Amino acid sequence: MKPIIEVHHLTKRFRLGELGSYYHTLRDVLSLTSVKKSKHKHFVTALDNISFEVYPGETIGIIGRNGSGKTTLLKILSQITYPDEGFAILRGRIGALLEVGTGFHGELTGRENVFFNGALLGLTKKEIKAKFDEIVAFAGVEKFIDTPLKHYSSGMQLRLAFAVAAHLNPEILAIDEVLAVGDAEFQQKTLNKMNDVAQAGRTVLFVSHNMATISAFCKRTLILDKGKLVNFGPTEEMVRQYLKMLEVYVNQQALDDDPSLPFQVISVKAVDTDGAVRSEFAFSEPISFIIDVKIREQIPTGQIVVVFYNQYKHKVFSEVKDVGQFSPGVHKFKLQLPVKMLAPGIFSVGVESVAHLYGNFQIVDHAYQFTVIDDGTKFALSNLGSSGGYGDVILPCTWEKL
Amino acid sequence: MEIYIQKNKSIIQRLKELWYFRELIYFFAWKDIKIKYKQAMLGALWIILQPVLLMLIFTLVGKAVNIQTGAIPYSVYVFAGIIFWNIFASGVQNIGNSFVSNANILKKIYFPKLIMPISSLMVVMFDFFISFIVFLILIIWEGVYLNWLKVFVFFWLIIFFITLITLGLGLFFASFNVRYRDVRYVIPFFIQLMFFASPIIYSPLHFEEAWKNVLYAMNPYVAVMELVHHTFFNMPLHLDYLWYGVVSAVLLFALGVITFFAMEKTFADVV
Repeated sequence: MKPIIEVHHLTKRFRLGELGSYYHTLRDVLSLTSVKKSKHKHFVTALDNISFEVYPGETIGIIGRNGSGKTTLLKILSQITYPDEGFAILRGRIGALLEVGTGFHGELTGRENVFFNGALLGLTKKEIKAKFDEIVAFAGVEKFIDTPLKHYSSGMQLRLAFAVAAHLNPEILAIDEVLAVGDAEFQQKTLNKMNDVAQAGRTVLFVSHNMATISAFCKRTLILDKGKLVNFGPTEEMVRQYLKMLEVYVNQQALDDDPSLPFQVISVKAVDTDGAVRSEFAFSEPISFIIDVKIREQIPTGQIVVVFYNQYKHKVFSEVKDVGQFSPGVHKFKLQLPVKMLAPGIFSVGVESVAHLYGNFQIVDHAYQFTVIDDGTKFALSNLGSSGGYGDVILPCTWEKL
Repeated sequence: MEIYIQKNKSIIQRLKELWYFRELIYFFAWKDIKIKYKQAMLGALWIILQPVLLMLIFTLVGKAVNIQTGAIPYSVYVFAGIIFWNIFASGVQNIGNSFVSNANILKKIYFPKLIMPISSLMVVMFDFFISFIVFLILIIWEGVYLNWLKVFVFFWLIIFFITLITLGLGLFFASFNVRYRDVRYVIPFFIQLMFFASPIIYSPLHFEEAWKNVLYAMNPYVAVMELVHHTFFNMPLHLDYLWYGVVSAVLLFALGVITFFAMEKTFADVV
């Protein structure tokens, strides 16, 4: 079977001036100062020599940090922008959803917007007419279909936008983060719809930051980092590798020192019993955290909150510490977790500084990341998978035969 | 169906795509026309009101400075000039801004970008055809003699000619507008210059012979007006000058199209 997508040595560079919303004016060009000239010599490589193949019917996840080239890759495959080097072959029509509701206009009615948006996404007038009732029913906006879009709630607009997109039927569907919006019920609806698309044998490329969705939905996954293809393989393996990469990256980052805050957390590190900083712990090992708090102004009700997240960014539990009685300066605290509580898996730590009646000062949702490795839990031999498959915590419960 | 994605795309490939997406031209025009007249109280009446009011004010000016247009009533003469000029002026303006004003679409969805200027021109043409009907009524009312066969043949020639220079200049501005935003301010000024450099509110009879070659070559719109005047008012057609206008119009069109194709590739990255 021939691949439906072949990507060969794809490279894309941006001039630094082209990124962001920096516009040139003619004056800039006419007065070619040395500053401007040197600026133009700087290129950012958004994609660096990427090659891979996708076979018909596969659902492929694309993961990577912000600026790793995920969106650029989708933009090139959907022909919005051109590569500088290399080429790609697509054996089928591609429909790209980099955003839902592109081209929606508030003055037009729901019906008019469906037609225009559908045409933009490559549907013919005939196709839109045939699917119109289905689209409107999916969005659940039957009553308002002849009302101008500006009177819709944002949720309704979004549902209508996704409904149009969901009724495209290209052989290849490329989706960028569109699921990150909408209420839970609608998200479920969209996930089901995407599943249908995949079941129908179409090829899906799916960019997301949400590891849970990627894991549930994609068979194979591609990791991008700084424009380079890091790895491409089975999703479970790739997600694990990516979270490891993130761990190294996150743990090297210092927290922002913000002088406007009365007090804040400036550092979070996980340490073992010898006090050495680590990011990997065995399940049976004690895990502690050294948390540095900088106090600039003493607030009696001040607290710091430490939040533990699992790899899908769901909260597992939180801890809180009163810091109101401490005088200005840097204070070190040690937080000791109960032994054998966190189940094998990947966790991240977030910190917040709050004060009753004053509100939140600092919210960092990804300050440190660590992995708990299975060194002989009672689940090690079960078929629930080696990490996370049996929940986020293991608690000392007791069984009794009656 | 196989799609090759690489650095360059052949002209033939682009034209094929344009054909494939042809319905979208209509959809863009349809959308723009709908939006334009959605919340306007007078709605499409504006299409007629604008040239009529201009005609009245220019007739006043024409009386004051005593412009000679022979046997043709000056009001009819000016009205003809204004409605054809509107195709060019609004056309260049709208085409010039078509990529920038649709930037959000351009960055998120792929379709041949030539669709936007073409549909901008269609919107302008829609307005024109409505005001042209008013013009025909006016011209019959005033009792100006019309050779209908000639009108029919020359009418399409004029439309073709205007399309050529409007698309040419519009595409040229539109392409540079994506990269250099001050083009937006250049366009209205440039159009105003050309308005006064064309025999719209005055008569070409005022031009000295020696100037004509230069004028026709510099400003292809002079040739358009010459055709308009010949078609509707039976004024003499100077074929020897007209050629300069035709050649400069073709060159302008080529300049616009070449500029567009040369710069199109980076539109989505820089707009």
